[in-house]
Amino acid sequence: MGNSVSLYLLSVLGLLFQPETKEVGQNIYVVLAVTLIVWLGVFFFLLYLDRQLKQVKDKIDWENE
Amino acid sequence: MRRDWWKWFLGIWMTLMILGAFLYTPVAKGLGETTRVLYFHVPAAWVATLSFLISAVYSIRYLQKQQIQYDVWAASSAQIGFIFTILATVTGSIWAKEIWHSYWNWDPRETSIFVLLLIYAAYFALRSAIEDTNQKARLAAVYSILAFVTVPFLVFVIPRIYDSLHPDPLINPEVKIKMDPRMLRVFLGSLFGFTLLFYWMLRIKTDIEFLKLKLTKRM
Repeated sequence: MGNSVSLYLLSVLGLLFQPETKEVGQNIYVVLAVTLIVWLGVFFFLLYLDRQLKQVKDKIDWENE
Repeated sequence: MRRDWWKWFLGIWMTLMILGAFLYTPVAKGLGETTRVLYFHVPAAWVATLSFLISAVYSIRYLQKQQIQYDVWAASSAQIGFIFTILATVTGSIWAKEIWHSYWNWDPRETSIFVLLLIYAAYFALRSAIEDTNQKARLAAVYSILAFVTVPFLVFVIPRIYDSLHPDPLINPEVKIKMDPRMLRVFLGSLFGFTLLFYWMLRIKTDIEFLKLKLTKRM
């Protein structure tokens, strides 16, 4: 969960601390890319955690039977 | 895979909302590109409120039924709510730096969310201070209900009583939604996505806690 929080904060920081240049239109694509990478990172991390948890649950249930 | 379809749906949905927040929505007057924080800051605050409500509901269920699984749901929900409250506070503070030129102004909304954080920090302090599982669950349940009583006041009432720098909330005194339709679509979509994300995180957290309980019983 800590990783998700750090990634989320990084994306917001990236959004707010973009350099104030004439290329704001270009920078917004960079921020978009960073936000997407962060979200996909959080998503696949949760998916991985979910799968691992399911495996442990199945193993414990199998041992109990 | 078939049971996991909604998780993949969430992945695609949130990706679309992020694309929408950057490429589809216009910027609000006076806020410039920082408008886009709105689609992450408000849903984080919404999920925090929802999770504290769920924590209070499960606390009531625990006091009625005295079954430990309700305490697990209540504590897990409060923990995730606390994380989302921190996210809402930090994103709001960074946004304030850009708009109000200061990270912290002791604005009524900032003060009330800070008090809310302290109240729920005390909830976790209480839980960690008691070793007996049943006593911990009982006292934490009572505290969680009392803590939630303050939430409507801190989130909805106090910021409306005092003058605030904070923009009008979505549900304003005139009960009118003042937002561009494109912004509203992405905003509501983001709220839905964050809510589903919260549900998923809650499921993972409670599953871990139930496994811990199972393993403790076996040892």
